[in-house]
Amino acid sequence: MDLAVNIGKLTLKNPIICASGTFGFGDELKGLVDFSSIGAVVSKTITLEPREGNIPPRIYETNCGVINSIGLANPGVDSFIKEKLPALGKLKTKHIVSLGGSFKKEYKQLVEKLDKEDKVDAFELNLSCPNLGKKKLISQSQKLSSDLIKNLRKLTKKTLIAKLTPEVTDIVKIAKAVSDAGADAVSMVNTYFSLAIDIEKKKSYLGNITGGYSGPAIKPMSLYRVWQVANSVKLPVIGGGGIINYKDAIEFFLAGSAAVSLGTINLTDPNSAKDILKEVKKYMKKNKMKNLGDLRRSFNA
Amino acid sequence: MKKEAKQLTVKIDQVKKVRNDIFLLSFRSAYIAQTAKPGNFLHLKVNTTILRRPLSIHRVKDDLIYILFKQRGRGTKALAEKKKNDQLDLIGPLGNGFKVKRRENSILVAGGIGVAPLLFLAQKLAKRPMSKVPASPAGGQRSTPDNIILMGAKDKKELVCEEEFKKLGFQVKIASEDGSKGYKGFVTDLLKKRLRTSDFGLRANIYACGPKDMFDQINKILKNYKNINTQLSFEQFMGCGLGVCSACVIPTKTGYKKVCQDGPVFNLKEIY
Repeated sequence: MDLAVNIGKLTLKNPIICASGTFGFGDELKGLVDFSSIGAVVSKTITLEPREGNIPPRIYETNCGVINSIGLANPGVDSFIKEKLPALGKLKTKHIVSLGGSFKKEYKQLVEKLDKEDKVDAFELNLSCPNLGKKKLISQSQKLSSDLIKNLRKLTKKTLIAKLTPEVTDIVKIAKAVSDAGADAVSMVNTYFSLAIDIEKKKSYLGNITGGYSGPAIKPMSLYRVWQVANSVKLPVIGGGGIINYKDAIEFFLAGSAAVSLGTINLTDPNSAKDILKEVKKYMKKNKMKNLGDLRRSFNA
Repeated sequence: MKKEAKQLTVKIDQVKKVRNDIFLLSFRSAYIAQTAKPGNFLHLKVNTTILRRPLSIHRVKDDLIYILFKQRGRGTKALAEKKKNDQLDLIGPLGNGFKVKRRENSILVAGGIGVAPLLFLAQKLAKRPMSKVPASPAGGQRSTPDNIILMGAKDKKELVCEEEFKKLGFQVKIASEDGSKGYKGFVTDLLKKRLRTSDFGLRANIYACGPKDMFDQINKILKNYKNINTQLSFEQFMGCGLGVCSACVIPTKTGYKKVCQDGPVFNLKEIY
């Protein structure tokens, strides 16, 4: 059975990706996790300058999902290069570095600093963090997304993945724009805008008031968007949003994902990639599928 | 043995109702028993919730591990409903625990269910070897340092473990906000009195666990006793418990720190 998948120039040994923000910057989980069964790990988003992140509390669990408002807490790119990057090459997985910023020039500088690093296998552009208190996310605008990717495309030959927000009227238009601008893949979806209120204190459960919603609750909505995009753009789609077991993962493949992305479930089960991969293989064997293409094409709608 | 967090599946030995909404859960794990330190927590998988629930280790007896908790939400409700021989998936031991001071006297301050991690700490404090207590009233004889716990709660129903601390040789002082048991008022009033009326406190270390308001009060009181080393065990809504998601931070003097990894125990001077 062939589980390898190409995302731009990058080849992953299997299509299970651990999503940004749920796996640290690289090797923090090495004592607990079998990295050899993970296709790729996306780092927590790195910004040019260190960021403290948002006011706590930063996480709240609802009936069927989790709201978070971390606010891109990270040590900044220089510290990442010095302290985190050296350890990454030793793990038997690929490392996709997530980049975040407010302005084009921040992304530019990040790509310039990291492009020469061999241990960085690809870039994921976080165009969709819901926790920065900004009026508009980059991936809510075709023009902003397109301009940014055109610019960055000139600076690097590494795989460029655009991480999109689901919070748009028509996500297909955004996916087409980033595709035309030169992105190698889209990763979708980032979290949904959300709010939870403590009725005793009459205050939000989160210090930042609002947060991004993830977990099982968002799966059907995310799956729908992945299906829409996979049916209309040629780019590989890294699909995810609420996957907690292999059945969810299979649904995302059937909807057209080239690879799948595990997020919230990593917080509960850091070895979920390994468990899900094992079950996906079993499912494919049972259904006599030789590769991921067979799996993707088997959706009868 | 060096502490390294592991993901383990254990079998529940017992879940016992201690009071109305306070439960004591136990299971056997030689690994946790050998590696856990007071103040460490376990991240328990609850099948009815998405995220795990962080609960501190209450007591270790041979290879039996006890967790004391108050039923508050869906997670603790599911834990309370566990039965003997049910499986429990956990990650632990986690976090930075209390630094057990070998020589000095100890004052433990418990606010409500904050008493939970303090019994495990008391077990270690009670076992300290005989040593010269620097300025003991008896004049430098070899003796075990003295231990006291100040326990506070809203009412007597919330006050648990008194006997367990007594068995470990602890002096127990109790406060309840409604006066249903012990002193009527806050546990921090007991601390204030203790420090004012006896020189015992001046040679003691303080170890506390309870709500943030209680820590604020302790900080206020200790402004007059700057040399008393004080450790506080915090709680916060938590994501991974392993230091990767940065969800469970609290503000400290040097920026946000993760409760799961930098804490849950912090020195008072790091916070205030």
